[in-house]
Amino acid sequence: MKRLFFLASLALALAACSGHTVHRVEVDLLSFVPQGSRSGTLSLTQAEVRLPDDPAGQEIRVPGAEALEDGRIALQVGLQNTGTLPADLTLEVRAGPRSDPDLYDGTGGDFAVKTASLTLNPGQAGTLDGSLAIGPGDPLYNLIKTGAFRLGVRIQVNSGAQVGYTLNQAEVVLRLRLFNLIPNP
Amino acid sequence: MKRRLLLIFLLSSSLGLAQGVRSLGMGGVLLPGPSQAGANPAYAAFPGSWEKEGFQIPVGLVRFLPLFPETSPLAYLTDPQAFRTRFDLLSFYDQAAHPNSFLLNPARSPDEVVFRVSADGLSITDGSGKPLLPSFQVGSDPGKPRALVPDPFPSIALELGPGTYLRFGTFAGVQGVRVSPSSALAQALASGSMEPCKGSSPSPCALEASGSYSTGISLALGFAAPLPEVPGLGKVYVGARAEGFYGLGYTEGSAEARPTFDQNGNVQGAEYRYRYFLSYAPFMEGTLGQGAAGQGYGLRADLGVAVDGGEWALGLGARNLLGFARWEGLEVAYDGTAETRTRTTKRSDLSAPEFLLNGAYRLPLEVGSLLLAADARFGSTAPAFHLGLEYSLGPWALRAGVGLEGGLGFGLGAGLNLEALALDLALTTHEAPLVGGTVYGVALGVNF
Repeated sequence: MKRLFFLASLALALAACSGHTVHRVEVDLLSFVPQGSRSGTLSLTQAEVRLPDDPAGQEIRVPGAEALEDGRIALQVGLQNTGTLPADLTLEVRAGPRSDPDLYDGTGGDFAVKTASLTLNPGQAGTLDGSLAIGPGDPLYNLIKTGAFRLGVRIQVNSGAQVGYTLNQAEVVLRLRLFNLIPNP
Repeated sequence: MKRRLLLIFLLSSSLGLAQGVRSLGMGGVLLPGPSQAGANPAYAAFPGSWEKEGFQIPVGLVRFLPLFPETSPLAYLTDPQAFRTRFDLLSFYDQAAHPNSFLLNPARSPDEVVFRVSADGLSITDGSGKPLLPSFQVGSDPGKPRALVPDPFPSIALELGPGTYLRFGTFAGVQGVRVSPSSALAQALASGSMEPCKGSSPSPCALEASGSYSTGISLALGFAAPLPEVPGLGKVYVGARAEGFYGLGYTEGSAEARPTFDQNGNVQGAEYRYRYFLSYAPFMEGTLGQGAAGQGYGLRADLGVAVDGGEWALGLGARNLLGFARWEGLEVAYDGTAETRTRTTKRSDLSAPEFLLNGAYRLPLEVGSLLLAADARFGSTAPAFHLGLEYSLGPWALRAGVGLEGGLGFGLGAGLNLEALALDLALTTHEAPLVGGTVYGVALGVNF
């Protein structure tokens, strides 16, 4: 009975859909970050910045996530060492389940998805790239397939005096194939 | 097994909605004559000189064989992997809606549908960036039952006396299918801004899809007769029919998706709702076991008039001028949090007429003859219009026409009329639903 209704409602949802159709969901996270928060300065007094500012990160719900094929995260932060000392910087992309109130405490299921580091001499500019592909077998892939997850980014200055940062790109792209939801006869 | 047999029965029954190959070659125009008696009761007494249709070979059914997994749901049973990777619901629908044409390139869903969500708005495009605005309707409003059920196929007609007949048979068919964005969503998609969606909770932006299907046994008592000839006008025919049905099954369903927003006005996700109504004859409860058994029945009145002016013919039919339909069954609704199941009764409007106006004009030429024909359908159905012509020379005929029915289409055809055999071939076209573009098909008819 439930199976029949599931198939019927699925048939409605699949209008203009097929076994060869991939639904690509692109979420432009950068647009959700207020203009004033996209850039700033890291220093010894403020050695860390989180995007978004909330330790719980940004919640992303993915209806039909069981049909996830693959995806990617595109993240780029521009950096400029405006201090007088060499700066050592780290970018960390973290993810966790929807129920995790703090993505950065290592409890509640959160984990680092990608880490990148960079050293800038005084006056030097560079880019930290947090982009990554999401595919079967990845912990993030399994997390997304639960239907809701949280994502956050942390930029840390480990040494150095002053570094300017600008979030240039933050985007999540997921590819879903809804026909994967169809059970075997 | 019983369910599969039932499905085959339902699929084959829907053939009754088809047009002739000659008609398809003329762009789908409906010629005046007895084959249109379903739409105009006066045509039951009309001469058949305007329409000469052979037996249509339902070549489109070939595409439902598992050999064609793009259009065959049966592939789900024979080759689930091929079904998952190649079946196309839109192609299946397109072929099912044109069973008498083997579609050479049925409407194909896009390979990629891109939903781009940003703080500024939502856009839906195909993989090449072309905007997709899902809006589509065929048939009548699928939101409520109708007394105007599909014509029975097959049917048996008994002549009771001069001009009086009794007809009964099984019917089955889709009453209507509709996919449409709410006005707020259409505005948001057109402007690329989500502002129109944020007015209230739940959001006024919704993508809605609905459809309905009915099957049963119908019984019609009709009368059609010519009136005394009117000088200068021609021979006038009038017809009336009362048709009742006993329902075997009826279902209508709708689903909608709406965006949700957080307190900052950012898109948070989507919420879904669905509702469907299911009713079937009590004796099917043992087989289907859904708890939706109930009585379904209805009655309606149709009227028609037609004139044969010798070189021209014109008819106006009105179906379901008065009528009612009633189905008892189960209403299931999901409001985003919980599913409710309620026994309920659905009733139709008391009057929801559907009109067919069609006509033809025969123009003798020095060499051969030309037939011009047109039809228009309107009322409680999606409007449709066709215009076609046929040039005849000896046993040969060449045909062409255009039509507007759920999209623009045209037809090309040829006929060969020998003494013992007549063959009709048509190249048909129609606009692909939802995705646009032209779909080509081939139809074949034979008359012994």
